Amino acid sequence: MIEVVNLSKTFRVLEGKTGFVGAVKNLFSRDYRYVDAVRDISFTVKQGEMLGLIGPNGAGKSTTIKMLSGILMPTSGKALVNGIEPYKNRQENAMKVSVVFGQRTKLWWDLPCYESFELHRVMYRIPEKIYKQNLDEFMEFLELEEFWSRPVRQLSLGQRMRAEISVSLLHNPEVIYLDEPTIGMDAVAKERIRQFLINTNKSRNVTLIITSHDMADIEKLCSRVIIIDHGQIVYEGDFDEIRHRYGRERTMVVEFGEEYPEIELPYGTVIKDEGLKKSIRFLRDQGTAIDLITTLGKKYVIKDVSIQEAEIESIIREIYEHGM
Amino acid sequence: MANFVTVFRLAYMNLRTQMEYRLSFFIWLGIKVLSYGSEYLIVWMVLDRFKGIGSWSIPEVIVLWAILQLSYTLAAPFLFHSAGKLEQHIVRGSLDYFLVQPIHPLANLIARNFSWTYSSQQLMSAVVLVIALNASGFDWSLPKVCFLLLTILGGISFYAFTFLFGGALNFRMIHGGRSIGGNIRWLMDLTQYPIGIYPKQLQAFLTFVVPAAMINYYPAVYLLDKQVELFHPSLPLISPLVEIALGQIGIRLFTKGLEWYQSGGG
Repeated sequence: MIEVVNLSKTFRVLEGKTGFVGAVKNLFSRDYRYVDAVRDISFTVKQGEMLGLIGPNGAGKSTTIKMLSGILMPTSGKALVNGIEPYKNRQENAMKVSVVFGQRTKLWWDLPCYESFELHRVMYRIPEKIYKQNLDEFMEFLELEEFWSRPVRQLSLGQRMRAEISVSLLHNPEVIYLDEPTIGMDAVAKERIRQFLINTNKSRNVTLIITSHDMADIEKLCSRVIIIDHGQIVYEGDFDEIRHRYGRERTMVVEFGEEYPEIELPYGTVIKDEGLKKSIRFLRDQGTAIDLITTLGKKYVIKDVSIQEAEIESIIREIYEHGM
Repeated sequence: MANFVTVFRLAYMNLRTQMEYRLSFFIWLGIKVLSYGSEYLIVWMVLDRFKGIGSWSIPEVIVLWAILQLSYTLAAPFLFHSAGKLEQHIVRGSLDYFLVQPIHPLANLIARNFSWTYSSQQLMSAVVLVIALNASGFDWSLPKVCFLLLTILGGISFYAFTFLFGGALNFRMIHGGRSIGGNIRWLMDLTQYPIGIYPKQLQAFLTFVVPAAMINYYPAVYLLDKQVELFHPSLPLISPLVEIALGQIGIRLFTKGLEWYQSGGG
């Protein structure tokens, strides 16, 4: 159980003066700017939940994760992860959680993969039986065998992330923070990681908090999302609700039985005309899909119909650009 | 105990990493043997021309010098590479992982960057110290041997302090802490000779402001039963304790400095 209460983080940033003269001036007088990376956010996460933290670059997602995992000290407010404040009790907290950064590695770059697993076993004091049990499971599901004895520097991004996530789960953490876990991976590798995370969440009831720019990650993994922008929570809820509330645009693809150069619509506009097949875009509040197809059916011969909801990606983009 | 096992494991993995680049490992080892060997030779040859410095005989001056060297070569493998790496970790934000592992970030950093190439210098310094002590008529009694060990520990603590102090500053300034913590050789140049030969102000500076003379000079006054003028008669006995306390303060400062850590952009 994670409880975040009025959490804020302010960074002090040097306001650099430009040019050579500016650089010399910087040596003697410095101007600092204070940046509120996270402003007064509160939320809770239940044990076993999969929560997505999304937002544009610089919104405060990573800073939030870093405070929750104990890396950064908040400026004010409090975070409680299973009853302890992580940044005040780092070592105690570390035994119960795990952090995976997509752009960094905790594996030893120059050594064979298995050495990092062995180190993790020692560092987290994992009993032999649990270590073996977990390792067998990860070996099978993520096929670690194929690169087990290879130095980490020679692994592909996908292989490295498979090893990274496996090693992070060895000590049976109660919470895992994943910061951009699929960044830079191809579609197959991404899918494999997602499937593994879903299985892990189900079989171990582990809480997952994920940030990602890939909406498919969030959509496939998370039951709930929090959208952060300018350090504040702008939305908290599930994807269906976002779709319902903000995905106002729908597209209906109609396949006609005969060629019609012009069709008369009660509402909406034709956005793509491929002869017999036409795509019609309309807004939810203009009318329902049923009304539209019934009206069209009275005038034209219709062979087939399908409705496309707005892609979550475009809804989110809309929210980032124009606010809620 | 479990933390010790982890630290040894980290140090072992670090050794394995260094050995991955075998040629570089042996080149470093060779360079260090050569550079320190020649340093010993030069000091020996220069001192050989004199009868001694002040009231200190040549073997006694070498005791001062060897205490300094031995403490340094015992501290350096832990601290030297760590200081450089710490700055990199702070700049790149890669210290993050150290803060989410169940071991003190400092122990983690030091074990990962432990350098194995100092062993030859440690051995050389220890041998020179023993020879110089014998030549100075050192009394190998239990209390004196214990005090000698405490002195070495004090020396290591002093170097650790300079590193930790620099590290704590790094968290605030990002760059530059390393230059404060790392460049302590100038102090060693001053304290390798008995500080009694310097003006009083400089003696006071090396005693009360930057207590580098407490690494070797004051303990040696007790170890070798020297009759010299001191700021206070208790200085020889308390020196190692002051240095050890400084080391502890360094650890506190470093831990406090971690609160300033801002990590990298995400």
